[in-house]
Amino acid sequence: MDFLWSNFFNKEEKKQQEILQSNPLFSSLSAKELKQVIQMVYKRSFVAGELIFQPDRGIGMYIIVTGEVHILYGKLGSSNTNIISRLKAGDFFGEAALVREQDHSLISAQAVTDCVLIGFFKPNLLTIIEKHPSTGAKILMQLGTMLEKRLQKAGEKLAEFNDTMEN
Amino acid sequence: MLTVTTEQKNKLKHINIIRLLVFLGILAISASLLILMNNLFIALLLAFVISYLVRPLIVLLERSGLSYNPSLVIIFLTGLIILLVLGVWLFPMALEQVSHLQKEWPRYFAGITSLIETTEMNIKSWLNIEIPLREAGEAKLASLGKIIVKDLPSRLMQFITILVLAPFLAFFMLKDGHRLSKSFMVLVPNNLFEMVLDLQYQINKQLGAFIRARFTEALIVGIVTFTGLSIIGCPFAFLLACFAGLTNLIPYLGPIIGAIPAIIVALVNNFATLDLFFLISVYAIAQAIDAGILVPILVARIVNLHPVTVVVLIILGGQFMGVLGMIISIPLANALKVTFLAVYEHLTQSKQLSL
Repeated sequence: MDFLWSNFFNKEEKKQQEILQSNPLFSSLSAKELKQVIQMVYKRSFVAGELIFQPDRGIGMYIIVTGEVHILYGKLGSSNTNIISRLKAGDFFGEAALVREQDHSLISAQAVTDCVLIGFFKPNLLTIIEKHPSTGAKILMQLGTMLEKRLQKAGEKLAEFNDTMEN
Repeated sequence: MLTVTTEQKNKLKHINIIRLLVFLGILAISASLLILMNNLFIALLLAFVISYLVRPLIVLLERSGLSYNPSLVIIFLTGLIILLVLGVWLFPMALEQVSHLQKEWPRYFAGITSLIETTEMNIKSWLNIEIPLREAGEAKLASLGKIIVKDLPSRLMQFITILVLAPFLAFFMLKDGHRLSKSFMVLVPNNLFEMVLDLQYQINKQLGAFIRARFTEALIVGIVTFTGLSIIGCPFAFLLACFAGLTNLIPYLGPIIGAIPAIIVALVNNFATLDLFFLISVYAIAQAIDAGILVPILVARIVNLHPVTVVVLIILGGQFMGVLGMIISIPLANALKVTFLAVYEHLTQSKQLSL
């Protein structure tokens, strides 16, 4: 019985490890550092239609293990809520919440099918920074790169938009 | 936005309600078990304090590359050795002072009674009113005497049981606490999960800072008092210093309560005026160090209570649990206040609240 259990957990952990490894935020971590992160993450399951986070309330990022998630923009329940992104297994969202001071965004996330997600939250990141500063620095570095890329893209789009306005 | 069918909505509600009920149920059962086991409650409280004191040391070792469990074992073994060495030095002294106090008690009893008598006469001659201080005082003194002479050995045994049990509990709290809290978090409904996680982190952080600050204060005040009293050769230096350190946990009134036994000892022993001055200076210096050095460094992290609240809480604590109640009522109230503030801040997302 005992070996069965340990086998089961090993398999589970290995799967989590693979999923985290393939995520850009954790891709630069060594196996040992990844283990430190695995101790911190939470596996959560959501049923179809359930909200994963509401506007003003997100404190962390989620990686989709199975299922589909829609990212919505706008006040919930109002007619002008738009789907801004459709995500599937392997995708992730909410990473900006890891470094957000106060949440005033209108972004929310909703499970479209039954979902299994891995959640990594701001308190977990802060704990890692305190306990394993180098692991924390690596994660923050990746997060910075990610946000910089997005900023650059937004800048390009803005330039394009300005061009079309001028013409 | 995906429109949710009624069936899905009901399923969702169902799952969340079951999770919430299990979560609250386990909380309630643990809380009532704690209150039922009176003796264990104090041991657990102490274990809780120890775990908060030890945690930053573990983090320090972890940063140098050690894993969690070896760090924990190293810290506990080192702590055990330090406590043993200290114990070998302090325990005989404490024991000797306790037996000395037991032997001397009749003399102190007579001394205090006569002190009260003189006070009563003085009041009578100055203000011309009669206050039956003596009758009220004598009953109290007699019960205190019974505790010191008769109950002290059994109380000491109880105390030692707690002292042995607490680190043991603290060790397992630290060893399995993370796993326990993680499996506990599985039960939290999805719609509350992020809030509970954030709260857990905030409360942990603030409670930890609070406990460490208060402990450091009590320890340093105790050490300064002990050193000072030993230098001036005051009897019962160790016991008095322990008392001063413990009562220092009570804000505003604590330092005064802590000094009273020493002043009684001085008065009963007919200390010379100069010696009495030195004795009071020791307590004054300890308080000056506390207020001038420790509080500015540590107090930024302590949530303080209003003086009126403190007095009310001390009286309430005394009513329910005696001297122990007086000492733990303030830290307990402070912990509750920290928790309440964290919950409130999370719910309103504002940091401006101050009570």
